Amino acid sequence: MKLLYCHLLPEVEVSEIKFWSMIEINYLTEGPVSQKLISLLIEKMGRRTDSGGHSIFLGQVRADEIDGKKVKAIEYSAYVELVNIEAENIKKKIFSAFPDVKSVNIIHSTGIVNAGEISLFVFISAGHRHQSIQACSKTVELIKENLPVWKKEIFEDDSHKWK
Amino acid sequence: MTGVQGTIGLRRTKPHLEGKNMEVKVLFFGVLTEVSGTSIKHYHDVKSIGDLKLKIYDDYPEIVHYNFRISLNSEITDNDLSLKSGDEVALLPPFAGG
Repeated sequence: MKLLYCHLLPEVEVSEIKFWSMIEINYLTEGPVSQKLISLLIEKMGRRTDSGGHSIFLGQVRADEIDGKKVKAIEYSAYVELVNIEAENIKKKIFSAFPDVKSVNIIHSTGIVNAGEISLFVFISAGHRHQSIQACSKTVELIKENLPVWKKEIFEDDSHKWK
Repeated sequence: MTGVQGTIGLRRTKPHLEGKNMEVKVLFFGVLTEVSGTSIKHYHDVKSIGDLKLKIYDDYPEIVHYNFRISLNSEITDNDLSLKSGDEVALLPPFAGG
């Protein structure tokens, strides 16, 4: 059986079946969304022959300058139980509004994510390009609106500001 | 793994405390963890969400200056619902994911 690294516990290897089932039910990952996880998900989508279009959104931490201080990282926190409920609701809304959509994957970071690293990953697969693009945009908007996640900007001098 | 499940099972079978010992769990999130200095606190003898909010404002007067919504047992509500022992109430500042 092929073993993969689990994105929730990067040091733990799990079976491929378990890995994908964890992706289906877990929407949060500790630290940044890794390039490894992103490439694994793209590889997975390549096996879907019912889809003609995939759309990806990657949210990245910006090194904003606020009051003369530069953001070096964002610390995310979440209400895990409610994240799971709301992410399921978002998926239901997308499937209902875009019937051509075959799959919706959402992964959001918790904990520290440095400037330049990825904190949000959205991956939509659809039969055709139009609905994959529209559904991806709508999913990101619904995440911003409904996912119980909070962020604390951490500056280079280690002071912080809640957003 | 069975040991962990066993522990959860024991907690669930523990009889709920009623009457004077009625207890609800309150979770603070985002900036409110900093304002209250905690992420979790238990309150006793609170009849409703409105009643609980008054107690929270008593403990942390600064919270009145912050905007937040309330969830009861992982369901967001704007209503002054009654509370029972074992309920979980969360104070949710505006979401800022992404």
